Amino acid sequence: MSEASLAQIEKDTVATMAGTTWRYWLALGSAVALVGLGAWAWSVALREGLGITGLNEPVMWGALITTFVFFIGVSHSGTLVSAILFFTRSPLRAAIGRSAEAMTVFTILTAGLYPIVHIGRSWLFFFVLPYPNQRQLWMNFRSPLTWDVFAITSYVTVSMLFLYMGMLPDLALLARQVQGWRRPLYRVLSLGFSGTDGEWRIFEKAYPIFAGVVIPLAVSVHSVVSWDFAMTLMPGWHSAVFAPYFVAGAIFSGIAVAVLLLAGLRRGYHLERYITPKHFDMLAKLLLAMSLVMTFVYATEFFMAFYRGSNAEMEVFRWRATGTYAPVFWGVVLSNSVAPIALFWSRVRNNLPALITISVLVTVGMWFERFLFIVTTIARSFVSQNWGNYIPTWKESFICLGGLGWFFMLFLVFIKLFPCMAISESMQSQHAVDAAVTPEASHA
Amino acid sequence: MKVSRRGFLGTAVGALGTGVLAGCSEKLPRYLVPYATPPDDAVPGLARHYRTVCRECPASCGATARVRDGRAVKLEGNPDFPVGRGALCPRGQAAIEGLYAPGRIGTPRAGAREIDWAAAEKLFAAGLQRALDDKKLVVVVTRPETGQLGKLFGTWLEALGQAPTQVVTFDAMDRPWLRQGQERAFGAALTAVPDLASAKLILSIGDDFVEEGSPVERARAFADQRAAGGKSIYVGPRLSLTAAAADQWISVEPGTESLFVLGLLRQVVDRAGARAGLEAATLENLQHRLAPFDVAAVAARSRVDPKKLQDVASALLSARPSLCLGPGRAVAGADAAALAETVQVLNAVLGNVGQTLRFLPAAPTAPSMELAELTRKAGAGDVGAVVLHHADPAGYGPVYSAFAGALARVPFVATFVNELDDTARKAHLVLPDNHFLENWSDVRPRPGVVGIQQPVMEPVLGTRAAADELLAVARILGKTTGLPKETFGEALRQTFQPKEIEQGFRLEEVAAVVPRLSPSALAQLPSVVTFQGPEQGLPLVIVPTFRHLDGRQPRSALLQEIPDPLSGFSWTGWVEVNSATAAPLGLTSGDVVALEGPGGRCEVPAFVTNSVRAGMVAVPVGDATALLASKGFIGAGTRVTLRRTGARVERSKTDVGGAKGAEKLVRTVEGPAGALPPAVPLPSMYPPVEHPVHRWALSIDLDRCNGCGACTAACYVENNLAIVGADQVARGRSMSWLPVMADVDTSHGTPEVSYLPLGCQHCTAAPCESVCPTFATYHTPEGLNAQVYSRCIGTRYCENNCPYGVRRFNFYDWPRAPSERLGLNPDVTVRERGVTEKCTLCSQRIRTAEEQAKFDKRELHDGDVVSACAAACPTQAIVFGDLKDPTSAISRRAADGRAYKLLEELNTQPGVFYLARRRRGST
Repeated sequence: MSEASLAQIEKDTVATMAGTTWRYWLALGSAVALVGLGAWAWSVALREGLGITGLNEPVMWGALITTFVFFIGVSHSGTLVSAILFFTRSPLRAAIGRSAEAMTVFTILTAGLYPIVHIGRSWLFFFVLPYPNQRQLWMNFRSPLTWDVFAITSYVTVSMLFLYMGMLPDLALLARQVQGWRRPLYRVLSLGFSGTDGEWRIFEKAYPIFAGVVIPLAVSVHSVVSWDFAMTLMPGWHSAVFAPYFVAGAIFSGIAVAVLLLAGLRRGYHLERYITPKHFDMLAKLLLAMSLVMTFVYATEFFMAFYRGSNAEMEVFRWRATGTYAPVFWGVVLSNSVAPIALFWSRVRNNLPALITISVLVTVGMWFERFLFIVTTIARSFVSQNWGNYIPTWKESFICLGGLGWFFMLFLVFIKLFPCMAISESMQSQHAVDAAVTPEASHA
Repeated sequence: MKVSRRGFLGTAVGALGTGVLAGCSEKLPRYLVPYATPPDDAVPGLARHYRTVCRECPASCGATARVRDGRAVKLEGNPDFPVGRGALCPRGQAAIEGLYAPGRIGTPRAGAREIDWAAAEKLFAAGLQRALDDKKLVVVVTRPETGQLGKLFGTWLEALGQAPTQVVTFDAMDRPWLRQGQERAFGAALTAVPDLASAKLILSIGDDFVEEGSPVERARAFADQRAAGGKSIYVGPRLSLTAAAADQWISVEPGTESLFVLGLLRQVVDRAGARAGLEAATLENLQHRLAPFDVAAVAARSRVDPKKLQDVASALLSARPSLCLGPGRAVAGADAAALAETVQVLNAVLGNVGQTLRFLPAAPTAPSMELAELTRKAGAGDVGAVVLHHADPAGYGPVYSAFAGALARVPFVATFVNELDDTARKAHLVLPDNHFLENWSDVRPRPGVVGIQQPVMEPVLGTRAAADELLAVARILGKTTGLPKETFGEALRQTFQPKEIEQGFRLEEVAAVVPRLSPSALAQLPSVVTFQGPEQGLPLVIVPTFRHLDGRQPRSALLQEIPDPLSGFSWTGWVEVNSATAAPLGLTSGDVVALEGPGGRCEVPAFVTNSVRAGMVAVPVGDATALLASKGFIGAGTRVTLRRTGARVERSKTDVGGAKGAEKLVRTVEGPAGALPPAVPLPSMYPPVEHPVHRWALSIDLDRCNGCGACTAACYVENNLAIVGADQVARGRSMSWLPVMADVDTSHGTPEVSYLPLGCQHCTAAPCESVCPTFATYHTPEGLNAQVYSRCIGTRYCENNCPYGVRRFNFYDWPRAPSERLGLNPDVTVRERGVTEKCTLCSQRIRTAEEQAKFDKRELHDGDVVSACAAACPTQAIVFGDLKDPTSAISRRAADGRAYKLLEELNTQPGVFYLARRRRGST
């Protein structure tokens, strides 16, 4: 890294914000098109009703809730990884922290849409908020969905603040660098940060607090989301393993998505100098570790179903592995448990196309994994009159794809407006590297 | 798979409303509230109740109409009326739907052209005048009219100068062989009044008395008989509702039921004939006639275990009095009258006559014309005009094709209908009659019982009473001799006391007769049924259904929507195929099969089952009509071929027992005195929930439930449940709050079927309540699991967390024709799309009763509140009440040793409990 001068770092980062190639416009255009498709499909649902989905009695939650849980999961690793890297003083953080945090914010903003899309009367979603009303109606605090509302809103708030806070020095820097309409924007957003010693001192104190808050919050939020399922009495859901299982799954899918985003950024903006094979190697190790955790959890679920001796629960798991959705189940095992085993070999870890392939498999696999445990439980609970099947309709899939488009749209706009790597942190870590190389320089 | 009058509604659900609006061209009343000046004693918002008679089938059960602000919204039974005793079958429950059906017509039609009443009367008179001028016959063809309307037809014909005998009673449901058999056995025209309740053993020879005839009355008596420890045996090819409710089902080689009965009769005569009190000559004659039917011969021919035959005979001899019934349509072949005669002889030898089988002298019927005679005369061109009154011979496919063909040669055909049917589409003049709830009439379901059918509301549309139109046209023709001067309704009303009208009926003394067996009884022995149709075909069993009766049009959308509990099919008929027969054909349930019979073909989905004997197929009567030869409406004697078409039809899931890996909901006890092990209270972390005043609850006795589905239909009507159509039902989006499920237990050899109505369990610790984020569902202090529609945002979390799967989600704003909206129950909210709903235990009825009690300054009594399902249940399997009242009927049931709750181990503490089914094993 030592070959990059401080000026170079700044120049490269700012370059991601300045030039817009046709590739960028194509990517943004595709994302907006997906959003349009999703918005159209949702508008049909709003006009006609949720009958346009494949939902039925008994499968009342399907692709939309799957997508919600999936995006919540992806959101997790971003901020979590960034905060953990911060505390471990990892040099990796400077390169990937910002995109990871941005990914968190945008995935959670995407995830938050799905419960609203999914409910029967979307226009009354505010009934779950504690708003003052003359009927003095309150929400049900016993419902895990109410906890969800609080958990997600807390998480989105803290994640946004964490992202914003970390960007302050960069915004101040940019306010001095750029011209045109961006200059007043950054000036306002930088809140007058001028880089004085006192400001840095406060910044250095405040930032760890946010990072410290984010870590337990990330764990708790996904635990709460898991309680949406674990607090029911449905076989296959009602299980104490769900909270750690969800957190692990969240980190797992989050890392996979992070790999994909970083690889994209690196390629698109020629950031090979900052996002190095070493970074990918470390992410790959983390991915492998989480994959092993997930495999353990899958095995635990099956074992617990057997050990508990509950007829209904055994049936759910038997059916999950051998019933209508067996191909999905074995596909998920292949992508989430088997494929990442290849990462034991450093040759695979250091082969970017291979890592990308595995990450795509894991990302898709995690969506289907969520789909699987949501659908197989409610399609196979207790009494046989309540057994069924569920296949998402086209319109439903469009709404899910629209979310993907929405996320990419936000992310693409973000990297045009804000530095996608932490300039000041890169500089700091560069200083640290330089200081290590030439001790007297740091004394100077 | 005929397209019904509202079949399009089923498929048009997705295209909200548009198709439905097009279906309703009739002008609806302009005002929301039909009273311009309400009657003095009418209080807006309070219901008025009128006693009347249900005319959905000839059984004529007593009915009570609940009328809100001038519109009937619900039909219940009349508890004082001997037929029905307060209950109605699903068809009766759905009658309200027919009143507001979008297919009803309100203006007369000449061909396809709508005309006004004055023009219609002129046309009617002209048609009749021409027939009279040409010296041709004028004939009235009517559905059974046992009261004064039937007499009016004769008088009217006489006034026109015709013979009063030119009235044909057209009734595809009729089972004439039963009357003929009685007449042959006893030598006199009689009306049988079986007393099922006091029989120790009921032997049904394919008589599905729970489904056809007078099902409500019989179902109640049968349930009482079972509850009193009585036994029952059903002999027939198929496990019908009646067979399922019986203790033992014996299936014999198709068509040999007569041999089985003869073998049985010989056993009985041999072993107890001498003590039967028969005249010596009669006994000798019987012994002589029955000699060839020894056990071995009969058993070999009808392929039944000889021991079984002897066991049945022993059971009949030891359980006295017993009662033998039949044959029903399912086993009635061309020689059914002789079989019916044999069954009556069996009754006589067993000494049942006068005990469980009372006879009344048959009602003196006006001499009338046979259908065959009319067919012949019309075919010969002797008939100048036919007036049809709710008769649709063209609607039965090939069965009445000869008559329908002859009708085409009649120069003038006028028909009185409620909705256009196949015959009406060809008629020269269609006159829309009032619905029976808008009309005066009377019926005599049996001698001594006169049901008074009074109008409960003004006609919804511009219809007129058929009788008044006959009078009007007679006036135009100037031929009014003997006809009433006023309206038919006025004339009829004057023949009854106001008190009789208020109670809905009049009872007359009729002396019972105890007929003696005719010495010539069994002069002609019943023969084995011969089957016609394709050589390689399988014998066809016609399944009677009270939902669609004989399959007549129009078919109720509601009754088509409710799935058959055993097969799970709705909006279509089906063919039952034994699994052993289906395997070589590669058939699975849901595969559409093309059936071909002597009369024609039909396509229906297959139901692969053990509830029909191997080597035969069973088809519900409405679809089977397409297959029958034009020999009349008999049940046995047709062969059909099967061919897979490759198409598939989805079924509703109604199975609550058999599946591996699923919890079994139906529990059974052994023997009449059996009890379940007491439930162990489970620990809970939460304090017990208190119900300070009431704890409303529902109990369902599985031993009494016969799966008829009256509760389901009543729930639809009472609670404004949406009918979603075939497509949506197939997607699992039926809105039924109380579907009837079935459990087929094959672990004891022959399948044993239990039915289980499964609605909201009103749990004290309800899993749905804790997960709802908006408190849309919560536990009321009175024990209801309440659903606040306006608070519901449709997360469907509750539905996921309901282990019983009884919550329903409104996927769409389900379409309702404008006329149907008039029939909505104003006490119950109509739910919009996006909200969840489920059984409320008829909270509106609880409120009404509580307010009434408060108004009367008294406490609520047991029986003040009756949920719609409990009120509807013909067998009183469902009881609603307050568990906090220790003297209530439901508290007594809760103390029963058979009481249990569903999925008790989940500790949801349901407020709905079931009484286990009693297994009696074989006789």
